[in-house]
Amino acid sequence: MVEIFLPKNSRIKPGKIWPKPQNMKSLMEFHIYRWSQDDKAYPRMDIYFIDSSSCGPMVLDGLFYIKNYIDPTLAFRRSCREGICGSCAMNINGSNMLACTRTRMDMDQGGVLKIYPLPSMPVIKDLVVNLSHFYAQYQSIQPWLQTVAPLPEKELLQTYADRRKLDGLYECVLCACCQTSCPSYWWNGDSYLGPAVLLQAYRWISDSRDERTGERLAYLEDPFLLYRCHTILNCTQTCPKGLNPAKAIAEIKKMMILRRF
Amino acid sequence: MKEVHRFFGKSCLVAESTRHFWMQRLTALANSVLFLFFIILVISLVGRSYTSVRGVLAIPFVNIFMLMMLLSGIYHMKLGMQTIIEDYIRIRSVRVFMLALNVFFSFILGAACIIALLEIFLKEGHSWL
Amino acid sequence: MRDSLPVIDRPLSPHISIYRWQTTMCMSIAHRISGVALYFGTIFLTLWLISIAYGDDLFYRVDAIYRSFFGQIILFFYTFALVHHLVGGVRYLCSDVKTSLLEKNCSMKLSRIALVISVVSTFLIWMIAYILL
Repeated sequence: MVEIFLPKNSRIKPGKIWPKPQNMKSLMEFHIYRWSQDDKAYPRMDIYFIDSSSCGPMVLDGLFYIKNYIDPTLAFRRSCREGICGSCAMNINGSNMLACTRTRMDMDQGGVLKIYPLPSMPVIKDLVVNLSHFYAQYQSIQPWLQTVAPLPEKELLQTYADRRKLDGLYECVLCACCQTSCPSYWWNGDSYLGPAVLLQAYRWISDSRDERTGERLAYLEDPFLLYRCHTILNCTQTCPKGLNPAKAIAEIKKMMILRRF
Repeated sequence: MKEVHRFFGKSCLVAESTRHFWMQRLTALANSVLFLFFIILVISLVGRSYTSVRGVLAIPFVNIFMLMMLLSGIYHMKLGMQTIIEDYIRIRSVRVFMLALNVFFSFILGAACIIALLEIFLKEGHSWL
Repeated sequence: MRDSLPVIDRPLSPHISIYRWQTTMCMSIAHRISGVALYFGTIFLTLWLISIAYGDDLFYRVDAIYRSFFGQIILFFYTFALVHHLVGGVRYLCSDVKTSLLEKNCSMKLSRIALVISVVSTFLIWMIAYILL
């Protein structure tokens, strides 16, 4: 039976309540998932209080405040701080998003922000999860241009209309927000490719310069790789870049049917 | 990509998964019309006597629609339950058993419905038969 | 990372217990639950047909069971499951063909409309049935 309940070693216990800083103008509470293999304990929820007026507006700024002034052992991925690298993807108040592109006021639920790592992923430390399987699935769809005909002297030309077909597909930053928001991926992550990977599969299928569309579609001819999608639509709701993986998957399914006729 | 073909062999060429998806959607389309008809039929049969109900169901048009509705509905439900079993049951032996049970259940219900409808149609004594 | 734990021993981050429930997600699981309810409810439909085929005695007995309070409750939920699955199914079919219906706001609105239509239709059907009775 599929693991609806978390395995025993993943059950979350209440954690430490960190002291409030002095002379706070506006208080904000952060409940953050903590786990480290050195602790040799269950994961816990630590509660931090930050002074909202003395740090930047984004959720990531709040995390930096905690790491710089309260608890330096807090681990989280981050890099560009502008929503293009996809590193700071995490679950904030129940929705997957990039911590650097959402303000704390946006996500406020009674002054409390609950931060969890991306759902249903093996945890490395605190908010850092193991994305190796996700990257392996991405590699399996062969995300590069493949041609059969001999290459031209200069570029492979593409019309404006053909280039527009890639809009809404190429912007994906592989943050895994949509991937880990999909219940089908929670239950069958080992065999289902997931929304992000399928979006990229569609990006290469719909690229007019790519000549191995047939093989790409044939690869998806499997009960699990593509067809575990049941249009739950969590992916589209959560994408921080505003992309639509559900639409891309629906288009792939249409192409899969049409190639049989 | 070649590894997939080596493992699944011909099933990829037969496109079983796409066929499953296509039939699921096709029967869904048929059901959306047929079950609408069924709801209207049931409302019209509410409170009627036995002979009246049987008489309505013996009308060839109604009988054939009921038959199509049940066959399409049962096929759709067999496909749907197959998807659910594949989604949630991970232990291979249990999964195979449940998938087989699903097929048997659907066939038994389908056969029962076909026989019942035939019985209603044939025993009515249609003059043109 | 020589002392690193193997992946299998690492905790799994929480999923269903912490993820925010949205209308589209609820409609999807309701679609599945109504499908399972209809799967087993087809037994009642088959029993009814068999009772019609095999004589008025059996028919009136089955009819009495279906008219009992418990029977009516089950029939009501069966009708709700049927109508909800039908309306939701039509919505999924439309979005399969016209994929622009899968846009974020559009899909949210459509799922709410589908829910309202299915609830209203179920009550309408039962009101009409009771008026005709």
